[in-house]
Amino acid sequence: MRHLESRQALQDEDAVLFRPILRTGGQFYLVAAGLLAVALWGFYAFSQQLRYGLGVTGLNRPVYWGFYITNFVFFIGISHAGTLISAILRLCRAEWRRPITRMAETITVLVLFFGLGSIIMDLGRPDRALFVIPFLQYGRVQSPLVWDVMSISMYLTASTIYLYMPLIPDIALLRDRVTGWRRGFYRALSLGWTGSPRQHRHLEIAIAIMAVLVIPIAVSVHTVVSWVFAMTIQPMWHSTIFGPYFVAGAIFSGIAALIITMALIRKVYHLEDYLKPLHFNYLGILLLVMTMLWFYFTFAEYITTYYGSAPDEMAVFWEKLTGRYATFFWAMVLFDFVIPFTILAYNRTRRTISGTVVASLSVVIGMWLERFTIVVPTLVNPRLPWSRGVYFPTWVEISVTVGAFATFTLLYMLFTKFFPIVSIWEVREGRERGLREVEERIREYLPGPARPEKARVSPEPPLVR
Amino acid sequence: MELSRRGFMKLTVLSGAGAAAGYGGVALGNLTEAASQDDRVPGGVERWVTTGCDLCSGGCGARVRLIDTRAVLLEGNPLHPVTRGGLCPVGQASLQLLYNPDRVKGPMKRVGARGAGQWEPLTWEEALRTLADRLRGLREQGEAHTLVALTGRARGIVPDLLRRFARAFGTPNVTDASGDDPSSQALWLTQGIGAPIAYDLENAKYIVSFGVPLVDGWWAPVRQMRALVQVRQGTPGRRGKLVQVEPRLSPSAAKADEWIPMNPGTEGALALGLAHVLVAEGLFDRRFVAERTFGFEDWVDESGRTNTGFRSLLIKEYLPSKVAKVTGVPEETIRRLARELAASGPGVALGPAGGQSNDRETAWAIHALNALMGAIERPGGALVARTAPLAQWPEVRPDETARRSLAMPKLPGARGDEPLAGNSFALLADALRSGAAYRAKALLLWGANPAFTEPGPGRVRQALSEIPFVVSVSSFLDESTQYADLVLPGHMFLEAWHDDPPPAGVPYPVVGVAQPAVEPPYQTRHAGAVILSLAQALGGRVAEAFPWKEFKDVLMASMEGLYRSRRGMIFAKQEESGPPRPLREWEWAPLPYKSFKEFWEDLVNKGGWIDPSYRYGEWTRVFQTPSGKFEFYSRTLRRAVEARARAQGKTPEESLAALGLAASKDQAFLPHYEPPRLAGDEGSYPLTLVTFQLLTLGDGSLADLPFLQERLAPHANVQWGTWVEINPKTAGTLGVHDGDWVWVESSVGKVKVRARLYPGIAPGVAAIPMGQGHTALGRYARGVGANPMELLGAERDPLSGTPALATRVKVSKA
Amino acid sequence: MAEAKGTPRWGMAIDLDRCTGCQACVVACKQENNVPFSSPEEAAYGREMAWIRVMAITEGEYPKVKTRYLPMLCQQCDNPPSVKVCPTGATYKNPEGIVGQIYPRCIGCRYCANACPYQVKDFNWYNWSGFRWPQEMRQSLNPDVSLRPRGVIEKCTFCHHRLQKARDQAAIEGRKVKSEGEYVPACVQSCPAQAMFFGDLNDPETTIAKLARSSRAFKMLDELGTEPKVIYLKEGEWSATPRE
Repeated sequence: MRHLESRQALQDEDAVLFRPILRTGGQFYLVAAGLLAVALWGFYAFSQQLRYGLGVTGLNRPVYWGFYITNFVFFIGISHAGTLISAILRLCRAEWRRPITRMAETITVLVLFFGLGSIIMDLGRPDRALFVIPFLQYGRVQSPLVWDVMSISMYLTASTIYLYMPLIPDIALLRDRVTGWRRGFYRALSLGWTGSPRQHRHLEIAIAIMAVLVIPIAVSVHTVVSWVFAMTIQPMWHSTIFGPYFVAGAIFSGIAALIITMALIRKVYHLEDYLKPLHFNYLGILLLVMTMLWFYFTFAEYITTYYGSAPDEMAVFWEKLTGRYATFFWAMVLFDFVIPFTILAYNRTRRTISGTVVASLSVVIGMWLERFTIVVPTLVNPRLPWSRGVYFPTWVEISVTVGAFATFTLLYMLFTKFFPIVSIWEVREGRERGLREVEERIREYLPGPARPEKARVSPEPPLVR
Repeated sequence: MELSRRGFMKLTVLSGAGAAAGYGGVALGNLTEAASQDDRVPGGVERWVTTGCDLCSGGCGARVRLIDTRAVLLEGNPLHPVTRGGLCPVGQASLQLLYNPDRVKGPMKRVGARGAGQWEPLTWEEALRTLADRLRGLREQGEAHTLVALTGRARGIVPDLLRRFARAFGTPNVTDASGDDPSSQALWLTQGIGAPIAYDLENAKYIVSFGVPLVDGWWAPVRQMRALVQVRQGTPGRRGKLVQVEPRLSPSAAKADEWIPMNPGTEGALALGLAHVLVAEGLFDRRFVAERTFGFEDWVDESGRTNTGFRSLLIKEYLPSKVAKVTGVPEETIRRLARELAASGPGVALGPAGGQSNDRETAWAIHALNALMGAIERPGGALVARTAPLAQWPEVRPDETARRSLAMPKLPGARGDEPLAGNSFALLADALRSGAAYRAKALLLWGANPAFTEPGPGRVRQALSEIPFVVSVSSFLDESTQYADLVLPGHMFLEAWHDDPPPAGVPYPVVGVAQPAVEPPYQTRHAGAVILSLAQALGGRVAEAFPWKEFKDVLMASMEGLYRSRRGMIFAKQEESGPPRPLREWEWAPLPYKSFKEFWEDLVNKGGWIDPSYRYGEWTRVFQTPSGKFEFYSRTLRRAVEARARAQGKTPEESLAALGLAASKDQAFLPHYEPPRLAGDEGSYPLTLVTFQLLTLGDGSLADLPFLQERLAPHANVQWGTWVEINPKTAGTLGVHDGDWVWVESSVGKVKVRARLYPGIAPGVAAIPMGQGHTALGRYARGVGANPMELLGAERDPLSGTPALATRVKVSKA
Repeated sequence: MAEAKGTPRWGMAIDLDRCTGCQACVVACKQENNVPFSSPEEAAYGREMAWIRVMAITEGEYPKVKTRYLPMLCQQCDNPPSVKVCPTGATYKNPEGIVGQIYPRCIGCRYCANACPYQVKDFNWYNWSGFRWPQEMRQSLNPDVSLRPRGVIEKCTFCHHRLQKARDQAAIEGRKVKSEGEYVPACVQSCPAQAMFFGDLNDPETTIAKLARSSRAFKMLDELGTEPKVIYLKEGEWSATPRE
């Protein structure tokens, strides 16, 4: 009885979280149609590439990689928004995570498709993409690109599971609320979830295991992405700090992407009650830390190059700092450090949602530029002095890139139409159990009289041990 | 309302997604189709045929790899004694000429307006009948001399046949587009022989090249590349030196040990400056000068007048300080160079390559320098090539009509007997327009494209459109052929017999014989056979002059001379590997053949014949001058001027003065410096433009080979285009950056090209390569780059009238 | 020259003192290996293809300027950076040290092209083989070398098909391929200045093995440890000798 009551109360309380799924307004279709148009345009551009070959891009000799590989690294970086942050926050039992984990995890899963897609788009023979599978096909495990393939597919699998598992209770909630074909859809996906304590316990253990597993996988993903570059002997690619540098950059851009997504969802779905300035502030602090970390890595990377003064490296170095890519480089510094640092370092600006969003937009742009200034200037300045490349993307690459962003946004929108973008049961759990737990935990931290008494320990099993 | 709008939008979204999926399917289908496309090249039986490359005057031996009937590779003939298996990029790319999709596939006649490019095919019989009728008409009207014949090449049996035809037909107006090499004028002035100087490069120890593009397309490029190796690495412990003197760092200058930049067209002054140092410091070859030369010291002629000698002229006029001002080469460098030349002897001076109005004087001064060094008829020096003992054809007996026409004066520009007469189609074109003694009524173009290759092609085009009847024997519809009434396509070189006459510069005779390797796929005929058929159609004495059925008969008739000479040898393997053997006297066993047939078969299979011996110092053969010596003071020239004056009814002095030479009367017959004439005033046109040929494009007839269009010149890094090289300093003052489009404008025209900032060119000089800017020819050449000839034609050599390939220009951002 | 002892290690030497930058090797290679030609637009975009190129670099300021030529082809490294990174084994090194490319296996990721410090791998940007050669010109294609489809990397193979032919011939005669002179790539064969040499580096008696020991010999980017089998010989220098 109590259960039913609370459920009713919950329904009233969290109705706003169900609304996007149950009702779709004309505005949604308008935006979706717009995004679809852009996506179709990108698709058309890609079909031109399939038809005529990579000749339709701006790639050439020696600039064999350009927008697509930049996008690849960028998208993979964004993917760290979700699973990694969500997992870390879960493991740290940061209670404020509850409304944002789902959003973050969704970004990861969806954006990874675009990361992988970018590689396939970049292939001269996308029809042979599966050749890279080791053992079954021709895949050579010695190739960093194959590491990438393995690592990303593992990450994609793990992230999908990690997104799906916490979704199950929410899907069950939906199953009970809808009719028609959707009921069957949700029933199938809910895997017979009844909400029994046993199921809860199993779910929580599974989530905990995945949260632990997913962290090393996520770190490995961006490490091997960086190794695609670092394992060559090309100037300013062949760098030992590329692994951590890329991982830090990935988390950096991931947080930024998450903040932007949160702000949009908050606005569109009226979730002001769930996503409070506090969430933005906390993530803003994380972003501030990453900004400084990013600066540290960048500084370390460039200062060692500069002091080493190897001529081949310096050619790339100066190309970035003062040459043809100076605009990109200094824009990167501006967007990745100057703007976000300035905004985030001050409480007054960081504690506003618009402040963190502006900082995040800046970081997302800056990190794309960072990927670009890593990929292209090296290729433009090969070791041997006689060929100096030029690279301008063509309409195809720009269209495909814009199309990819549009498709991603569209898919994300569609996701919100099928699944609650805020984890309802976790929010509920936070209300019902989190409060108590946090109090107990804090008591545990504290010395002396604040120590918890045995009697006050909850009779229910703890979330994670 | 709300629902229907949503429904509509849903529909839109869904149908959009559906369309995308459908399109994606199509695109993927395309990809898989492309992937599965069967692109196997058909195989077949492999066969190698010995032949020769016919694309320049280098005469490289070649062998072609055939798969069944397809030619798939051209390689150097390893038996060829001069090239030993080497073949330049042009030869390597030549299959793209053979299999060019834009070849003329059969005889055609013009149906539209001239230059409109409207053609109608006809049979060879019709075409030859049309041509013969037209020519017969000229003879019947006693106007045989109004036929002008222009051949694209000067040497070999086909041009000889054409000259023979002209003589039998009765026209004195035959010329070749190649013009005269300046060195042959120098040899004529000093040694009385109008042939290119044969440089004994392989044995040289010190070479000063006055702008000669030794390794980029001059004379016989492969031989010269090999010779350079020989000079530097041929003798252990001794490395020869190549000094390149020219305004730009050409590929040859880049390969030289030293590049001395200088003002364009002042090479002659520098040569005389060097001569001055040799004389002033007593470094010249006293014995050679004393025994074998004429006009070194002051001398008294028959009339008792004292003539200035070369020594006095040098001492008085060509002080290094003065020369340094003219040439821009520091005085110190001049002195050092002269001393090095004398110390490292035998030194030899080469040049110039041609292109300035003062080429003759420059070549003369350079060759005089050779004489001072005693580098005449000495190993590593300047030689006179021995000729090949080809059989002489029976004498032509022109009939009465022909004799009367042959007596008519030549049109200016038609090749004369002495090198002073101009040999230039540009000049001829001017004469045609300005109406000389008579107007040309018919023009035969035998593989020539003057509307592209001549300076000031606009005037040539005008002249072509004014000649009533133009016939072009050409494999492509090039710029000149556009003006033709009749197009007769010739065989391509791998489809036909041809001979490779001894290349210019090789001291001993080498004769290549090339057999056809592939069946001609189109309605084409041998260019030589066309002459035979034409003569046959005209009948009478004209036909009698050609007692051969087909071109192979002519070839065999000529080659029989080699067999009869009982000298030389058929190409054979060289025992030792490495560079070609230095030139040396040789003992010969007589040719081991029982009959000419046997000789011929071996000749064809091996690719040619050679007599690689040279006897230095056959003075009577090499000095065919009035004095029997090397003449610093050119009596040969004096005679020619006197003859010309007599013909014009003037005194020699008046005749000389009318030419507007800068040299004084005393100097005119001595090697001297004549400043280059550059059209345009310095104020409006501040830069001096020099033009140069690329190994890859030649005069432009190779522009239709895509393999070569990609490989124009590594130093410029330009593909499929034309560029102008300017010094970064010059560019700075013009505000021009590397890769900018610029206008290069002379007093007669302008072209749009890309700027290449090149530190290897003197400030104040601009250089443009020739060979691009085709408006016709073929799909790979048309519309690519610009033709610098459009800038030229305003200034000429005062004596011969040959237009200069240099001018003043201004460069501005386009 | 004697037969090869053991497994040969094919190598090339290029004497820069002899090389005149004429590019005969480039054209010979393109003709022999069915390498497609470009159009003006493609060339302007950097899509022109060649397995060997003559590179020129101009240094200095007027009037002290020097231009140097250097034919650049696959260096056939013993430790090839391209082979290491290839995800499918399309780029591989065979037992005789020749770095090859398996076109049907290449996925066109261009990783090898980026990893190669010599910039000698070319990519098929377009569907060349389908339309590049007009029908007439297709006649001059070499049947020994397959046409590459669009979207794959291609590279110098030291004219591997010529090695196969030489092997066949040697097998018929019951011997091994000679260590010099019998198997020669098209570029070496064509060189007008005889600046290129080819043979078995493992046989100390070959010209190339001797040249490799010359004091003029150097390898491109030797410091990277790629161990090239293409050896360059420096240009010589003239010095004035006193009069005797």
